Amino acid sequence: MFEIKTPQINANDTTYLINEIFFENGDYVKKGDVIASIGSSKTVNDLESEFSGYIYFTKQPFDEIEAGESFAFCFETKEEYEKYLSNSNNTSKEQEIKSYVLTKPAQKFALENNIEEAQILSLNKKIIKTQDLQELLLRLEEAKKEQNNNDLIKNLPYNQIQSANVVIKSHREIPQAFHLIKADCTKCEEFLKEYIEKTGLIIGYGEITTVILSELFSEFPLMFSKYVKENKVCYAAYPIIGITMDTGAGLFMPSISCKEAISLDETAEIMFDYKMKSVDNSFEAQDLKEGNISISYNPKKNIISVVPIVFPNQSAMVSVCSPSLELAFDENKNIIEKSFLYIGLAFDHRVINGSSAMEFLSRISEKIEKLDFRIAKKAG
Amino acid sequence: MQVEEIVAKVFKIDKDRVNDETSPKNCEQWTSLNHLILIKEIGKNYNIKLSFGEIKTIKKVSDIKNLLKEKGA
Repeated sequence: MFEIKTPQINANDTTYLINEIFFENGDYVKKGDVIASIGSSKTVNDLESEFSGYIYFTKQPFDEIEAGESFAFCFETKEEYEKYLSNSNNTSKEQEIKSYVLTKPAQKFALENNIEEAQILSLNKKIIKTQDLQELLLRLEEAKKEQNNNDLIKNLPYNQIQSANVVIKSHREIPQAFHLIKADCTKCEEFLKEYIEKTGLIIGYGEITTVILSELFSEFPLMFSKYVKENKVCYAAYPIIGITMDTGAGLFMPSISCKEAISLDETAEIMFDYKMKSVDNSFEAQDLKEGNISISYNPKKNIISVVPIVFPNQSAMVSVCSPSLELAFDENKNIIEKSFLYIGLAFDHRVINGSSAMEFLSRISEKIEKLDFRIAKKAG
Repeated sequence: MQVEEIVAKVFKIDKDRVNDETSPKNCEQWTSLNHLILIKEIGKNYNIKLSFGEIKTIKKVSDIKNLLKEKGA
């Protein structure tokens, strides 16, 4: 086996580009045959075989080659050639894949931009120009951005996914409207202080609103109904009032069934039990029975109003937040401090018209202002 | 952990602000939600379970201490 090396063509260049190869691997060449054409920066030169025999080229057209680097092997016999071929098959394939030529500006660009060999190889091109590398760089930057975005993308918590599904269904199916009323709850605030002092049960407007809704059932049955289809509604037999509860272990919606109007004492006890269950997430299935109206209760300080969704299978949701202190006029036009509560109503506009919604809110407000709700359990 | 420490931890307030007279009246962090969390924390720390009737008697920090004394905790 004889090795054919690339000659030094001129004093300026140490690397050349193979322009053309005139024989196929395995062909028989004679000494002096022109086997390839090699280009330097200035000239194109013929490369002659120094030996006779079966030729095997280690380079291909458009490969870059250095002066003195092995270019081809020449074998005296066909057997010797085939033996070499079978031994070097895998290596040759690797070399074939890894071979590319960077034009001079491309080499400079690659160095300046720290483009790695593996990245250049990914172009899968024999001759690589600056424009190829610029495009590669853009793709790499885009891929990097996408990777950064992917690193920031996380799965939502299961509870949030569940909530989102309900919200999407509500927004898709229910044409919702929202009304808000401001209730003077100064008296009610005094009442709550006394109640808490007397009973030891810390209650708020969640409990009071529950009682009031149970009392308004017969007056506003549509608020407790659900839209069925083809302009029909299904009325509720009795109120089942759901109330949002979030004590840190997740958002729950336990409900209170009121076959009769319920008192504040009863509601306070049931709600106390629910609040305890919400702290350690120990609700039972019956506690979380689907309601026919809901209360979004948000007692956090300084949150004065929220716009809730209307739950699928319901027509209305009342929102109650924390009361706020405001300046107001008394009967004699003196400025005094009062507590106000903002009560919202989100409703299915197919079922409930705006004036009914306003009437319903006015009644809730009136009951709070006048403390017109049942406090004690019915005797017997 | 002392009762005052538990109250301060639940209400996220300075321990120095907690005394026997601390109650929902003079501590705005003593909300209905924090009240329940406080009861759960007291139960967990002293390994006791308070009944509904007992919980209703808690109107200030000293009531918690009295309950714990009664229960030998």
